[in-house]
Amino acid sequence: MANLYLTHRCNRGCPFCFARKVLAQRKDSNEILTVEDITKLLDHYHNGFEAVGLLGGEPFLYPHLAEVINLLHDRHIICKIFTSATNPLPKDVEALPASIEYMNFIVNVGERNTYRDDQYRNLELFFEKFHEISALSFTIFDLNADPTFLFDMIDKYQLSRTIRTGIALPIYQGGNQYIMPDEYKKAGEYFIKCVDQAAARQITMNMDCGFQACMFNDEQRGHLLRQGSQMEFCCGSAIDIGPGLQTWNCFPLFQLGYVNALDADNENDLTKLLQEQVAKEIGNEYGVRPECKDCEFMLHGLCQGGCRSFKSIK
Amino acid sequence: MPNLMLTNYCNYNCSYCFGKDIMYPKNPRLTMTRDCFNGIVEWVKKGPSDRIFHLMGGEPTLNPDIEWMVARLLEESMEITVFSNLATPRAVELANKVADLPVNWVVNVNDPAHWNSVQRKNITAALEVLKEKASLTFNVMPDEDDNMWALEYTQRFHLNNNIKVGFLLPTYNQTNMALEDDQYAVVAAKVTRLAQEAAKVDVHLDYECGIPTCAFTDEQLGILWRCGSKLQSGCQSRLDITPDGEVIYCLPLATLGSKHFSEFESYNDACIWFEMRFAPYRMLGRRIECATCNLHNSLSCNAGCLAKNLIDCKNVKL
Amino acid sequence: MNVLENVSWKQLGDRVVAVDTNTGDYYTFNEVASTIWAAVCDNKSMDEIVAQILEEYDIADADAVRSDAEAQIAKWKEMNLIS
Repeated sequence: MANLYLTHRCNRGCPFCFARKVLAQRKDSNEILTVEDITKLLDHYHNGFEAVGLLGGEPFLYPHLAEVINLLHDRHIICKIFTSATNPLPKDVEALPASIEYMNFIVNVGERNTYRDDQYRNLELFFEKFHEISALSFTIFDLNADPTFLFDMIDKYQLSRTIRTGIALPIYQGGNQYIMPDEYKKAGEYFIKCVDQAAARQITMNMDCGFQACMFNDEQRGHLLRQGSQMEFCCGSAIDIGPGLQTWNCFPLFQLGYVNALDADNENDLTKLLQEQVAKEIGNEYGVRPECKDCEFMLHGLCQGGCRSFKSIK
Repeated sequence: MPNLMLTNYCNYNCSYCFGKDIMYPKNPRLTMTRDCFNGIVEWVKKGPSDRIFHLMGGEPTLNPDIEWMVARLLEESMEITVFSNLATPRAVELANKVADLPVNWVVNVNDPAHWNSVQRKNITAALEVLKEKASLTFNVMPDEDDNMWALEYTQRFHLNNNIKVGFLLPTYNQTNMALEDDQYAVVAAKVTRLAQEAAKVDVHLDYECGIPTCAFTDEQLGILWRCGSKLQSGCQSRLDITPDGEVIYCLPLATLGSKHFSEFESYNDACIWFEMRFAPYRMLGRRIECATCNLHNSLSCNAGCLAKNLIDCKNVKL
Repeated sequence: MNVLENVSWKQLGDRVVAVDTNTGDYYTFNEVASTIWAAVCDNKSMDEIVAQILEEYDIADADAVRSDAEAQIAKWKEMNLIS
């Protein structure tokens, strides 16, 4: 899936955010990914994207959000918007149909005490309007955090009963906070605890990228399957496209350079170009632990050995 | 694409066969005619389709027109899978004729220790020719050894390295031998051991429908996943069409009702018709825990075989 | 009193689960309600139902049991599960 990085502007500043470095480097820049460039991109690829993510920064702070959503809809491309929903909903976005065929939202949330009152009110208003097409995203960052607020939010606002769960990953060469590899087993136990609490309320927690198979043993992995958790230990091929159609592999590896989105003829070739770019800097090998070399999960394609941004962390 | 029953009779008489409710000798012998077959092919072509046809039975190679039917489908550039026990002379003949053509075979077998000499001769002759075009499928029996013969045969004949295993499922009228509830754990353990041995020789398991996730412990589920044999517990029938053109949901549920294929605008319409009628019954599950199970509520697990779950149900009708 | 034809149900342990095949609505009854349901299906009279519950659940207050059972059955009629 291709992600369109629309704007550098963001009002949250989450410590684990892996766009943190990009946002910090460009915080004084007004540059945005223009509608013209997005149109050029879609034309170049003959609308050959099944789905497109809209992110940032904060998409609600992008001045042409409704226009881009409509553009994608007209070209039969499913649009997934990643937001904190803590800014007022733009009026023209509010007027759009609350329909999954139009768009859907992935809302990154934290505990109540991480919001100002006005931010939380905006979040509540957003859920009241778009609850039918909203799902939560949660990043495992504090292994003592109580996840109950997520389930309460889902029940209160009738949101999707599936939570996309990430693990805080490092930006290449640092710049954000993340879970250290030697804490991964503990993080695995924490995730299982969250999954069990979620399952008791008929909510499912699925893995986003960065988890490793060795975080769990057979029994724990089986337990996750039984609870309906989609396990994912392989790196999805992300394509992040920003202003000027600069394209990089994914936020954690942003430092490893970029290509222009129009340098390839299709999504597969663009992915290959990006992987070559990454390989130039850190090689082709996956697996961030020494034991990954002989790991049966790696050998059989069940795990890719964690986020490669760890290769820059000593 | 539907499963076409080319015959309702078989050269075997397996006690566990879940087709018993509509098979010969309980019912008159039926053989799908060329006319009926043509009618179904044209009907399926009318709507959107995945261009895959499954030919089964009974034993499909007992239908004297099977070679003609396969040729007809190949002319239409359809992908064909034949579900056969390979124990008939015609099976061997057909296997030789289509070995280089896009025809796959799913071979219904039981433990070779039970084969007589004619069955052994025909099955091995066909497997020799089919190689990776053939994959084995069998039921894991609670009281038999651990099925290592399946790995041995897969390697010996260079068969497709996916083996499909099943639990013994009942017909709705309970006319066949099926697993009792207290045998599920025994069979789950055998499946897990088989998956572990299979992984050592790069063979993986697929699953027939009707296997509930809760038959397995967490550890067993994790082992299956690790061995590349992740359990699937869903249920989504392709629909079966009997030799006389009646569409049924599946063999175990055959006696709940059928409609002739010509009564549906298209194959897609038939799928929707049956799914809408069975959808409410899926919710009943097999244990009280199904009501709050994420897997059941997301349809990832159908709580085992729908036919089995409906046996004790009152007021069931299509 | 009869369970309506469009209501399919079964016993799972000591609970009854039911589904209205016309609406897709799914019900799980608690233990006592499951006992009442099974008794209704066996065409037991209200007196027989009350006696069964008093005995099986070791409850003393027959009037309360009768009142609760009648209320439960009335609710099922309202939900179009029984006639």
